[in-house]
Amino acid sequence: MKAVLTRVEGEGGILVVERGGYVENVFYEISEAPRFFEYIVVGRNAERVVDIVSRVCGLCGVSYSLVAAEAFEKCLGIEVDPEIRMLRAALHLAERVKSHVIHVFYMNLPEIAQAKSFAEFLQRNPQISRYAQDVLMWSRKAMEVFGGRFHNVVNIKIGGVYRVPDKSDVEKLEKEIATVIKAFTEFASFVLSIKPSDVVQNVKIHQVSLYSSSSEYPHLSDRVSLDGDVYSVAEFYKSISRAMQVQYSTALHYRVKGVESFVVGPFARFNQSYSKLSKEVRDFVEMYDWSPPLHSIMHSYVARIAEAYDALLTLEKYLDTFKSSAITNTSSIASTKSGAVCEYAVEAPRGILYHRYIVDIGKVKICDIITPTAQNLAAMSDIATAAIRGRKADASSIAIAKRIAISFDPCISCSVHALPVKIITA
Amino acid sequence: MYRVAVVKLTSCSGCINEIVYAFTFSDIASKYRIEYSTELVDVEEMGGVDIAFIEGSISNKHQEELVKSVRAKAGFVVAIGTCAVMGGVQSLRVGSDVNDVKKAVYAEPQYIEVYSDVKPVTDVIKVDFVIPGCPINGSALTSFLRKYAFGGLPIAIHESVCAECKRRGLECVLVARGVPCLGPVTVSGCGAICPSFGRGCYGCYGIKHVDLNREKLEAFSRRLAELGMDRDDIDALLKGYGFKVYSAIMRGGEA
Repeated sequence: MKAVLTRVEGEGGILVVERGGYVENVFYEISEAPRFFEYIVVGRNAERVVDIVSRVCGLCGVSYSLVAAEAFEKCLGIEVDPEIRMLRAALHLAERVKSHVIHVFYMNLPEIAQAKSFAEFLQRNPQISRYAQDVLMWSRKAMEVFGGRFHNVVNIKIGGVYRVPDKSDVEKLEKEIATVIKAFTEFASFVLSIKPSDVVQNVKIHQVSLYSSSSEYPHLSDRVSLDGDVYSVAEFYKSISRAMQVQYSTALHYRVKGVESFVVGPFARFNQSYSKLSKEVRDFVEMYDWSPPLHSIMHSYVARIAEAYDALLTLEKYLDTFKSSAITNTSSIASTKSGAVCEYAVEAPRGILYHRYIVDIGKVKICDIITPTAQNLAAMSDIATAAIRGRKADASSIAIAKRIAISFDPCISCSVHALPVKIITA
Repeated sequence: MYRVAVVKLTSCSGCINEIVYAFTFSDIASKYRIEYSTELVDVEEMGGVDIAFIEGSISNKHQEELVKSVRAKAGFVVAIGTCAVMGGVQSLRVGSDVNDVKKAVYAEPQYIEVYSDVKPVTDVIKVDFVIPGCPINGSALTSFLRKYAFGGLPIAIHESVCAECKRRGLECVLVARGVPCLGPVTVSGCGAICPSFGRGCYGCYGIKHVDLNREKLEAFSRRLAELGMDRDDIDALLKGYGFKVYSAIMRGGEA
C-alpha cells in the first residue's frame, strides 16, 4: 500500500508492507530526485562551498552555511571574533524561529486543531493565525538584517561575516521584539492548550542531541549526547551510528551500532536539555502542564514552541547588547595543509546536521553530509511500524503513519541522498 | 478565487517558502486559494487549476511527464526560481559521467534514476511567466500575484544587478574595491543583496540572457581572473546557477 506524504517539506511517500491485508512494516520513501551536493562541491574552494551547501535546504540554509564555515574554521585554525560569533548565532536562532513557526502553523497545527489546511484554520482563527504570521514576518526581517535574506543568506563566510548590520536596522528589530514575543506567547498559549489524546506512544527509542558543557541550549558542537552518554561527533557518526541497508528495501537507515533507531531534533533536544531552556520558557511550558520527557513524537510541537520562545528571548537579549563595532575577519584560507579533515555539527531546526570535509590547499576533496531527516528515518519507520503493525492495512492506518511523519517535520529535499526506497520483497 | 497549484521538482523548497510568505498578505490570501501543494495541503493529486507554480529542475523521465501533465491541467504556468528557469546549482554535475556522480554519493547507484543532463522546466514545456532567483524575491512574487489578479502581468525588465546597485546608490564593489563580482552578467531582481553586504554578486539569479555573447562572457571571465578570482570559481559560478543560459551563450551567439 502506498500514499503520498503531505504537509511535509519535499516529495515523499509512505510504503506499507502488508501480509494478508495486515500491516507488517512501514517505510517512508523519498520520491524526489537527488541533487548530489557531496559531488558538486568537490574541487571547489571552501569559500564557495559555504554558499553552495546553503542550497541543500530552503528552510534551514543558515545551518548548512554555518556548520560548513565552522568546520573549515576549526580545522584551519581560524579564530572568529566573539561578537561575530554571536551575530551568526543570532542569525541561526532567527532561522530556528522561522522553521519552527512554519512547521507548527502551516504543517502541524491543521492536524492538531483538526482543520483541513492552514487556510481553513486561518478562516476559523484569524487572530491566532495573525500572531503566528507576525512572528514569521519578524523572523524574516531579522534574517534579512543579519543575513541578507530569508533563505540562502549571504552573510556567512569562513572566519566571520561579510558585514556587521547597521545599528539603525538592529534598533528597528529591537523596537519590535517585545510585541513579537507577545504575539508569539498568544499563539503558543493556543497551541500548548491543545492536548490530542490519540497520540501514539513511542517505542523505547534513543535520543541524540549535541552536547556542550556550557549552559547554552544545544547549538554548535563537536560532541553529541546519546541518552546522556557523550561521544565526539567523529566517533558517533563513524562507529556508534551506522548507515544500514534495511530488510525489504534499499533505504539507508542510521542506527545505533547498526541496530536501534534514534531521534534527533527538537524532541530529543527538549528531553535532553530542558534545564538549559530559560526559566521563563520552562515556566510557560509547565503552566500548560507540559514537562519533559515528552513520550510521544506527536507532542514534538511542544518542543518546537519551547525552542522558538527560547530563541526569541535570546534574540531579545542579543539585540539589547548588540555592538556595531565588531570586526569582520578577512583571513585567507588558501594556504591550508594537504588532507585536512574539517568536521563539525550544528543543531539545525530538525536536528543534528553533521558536515565532514577533506580539504586540500583550500579545495574540497571529499564531502560527507549527514542530515537530520536521514538520521530520523529509521526512528520514523520504527515508531510507525510499532504503532500500526498488525492493524488492517487501510486508510486509517495510513493516516496514523502520516501523522507520525508530520510530527517529525521531515525535510525531504535535504535527506534525499540517504534513501532510495525500493521494496524488494514482502 | 484563483485556484493555485504548487509543484516541486528537484529543488530545496526555498522558493515555495516565498509563496508561503506571499500568502501572509490578506489581499493575496483573499484572491487565491492553494488547492495543491504537498507542503501545504492534504491533497495527493493535482486537479485543474488557474495557476501552477513550478519549483525545481527536471532530473528524470518521471518529472518530465509530471511537468507535461501540470501544463495540461493549469491555465497559466509560472516557473519559479533559478532551478526551474535555468537549471540551478545542481547543474554543476552536468558534464561529469552520471555513473561517477551516482557512485560518489550512493552505495547502490543502480536505484538512482537521473538524467546525465539537468533540464530547466522551460526546456520541456512552454511556460507563461518566469521568476528567477535563488530563492526568488518574495516581493517579485507578491507583485506578480497582485497584478495577475487585476488581469495584468509585471513588465519584463532585462537588466543586470548593476542597475540595482545604481538605484540603491551602492558603491561598485568591483570598480571601487576590486572585488570580483558577477553583477554585470547576472539577472537583476534580488536588490543587489551581496554588494550591499560588501561582497561580490555570485550569480544566483542566473546569467542575463540578453546583450551577452561568448566574446563578452570570456572577456568578463578574464577580468574576474585578473581581479584574483580562481579560474575554477569563475567557471563554477557562471555555470552553477544559470547553466542553460550560459551553455547556450557559449555555444555561440546570444541566448
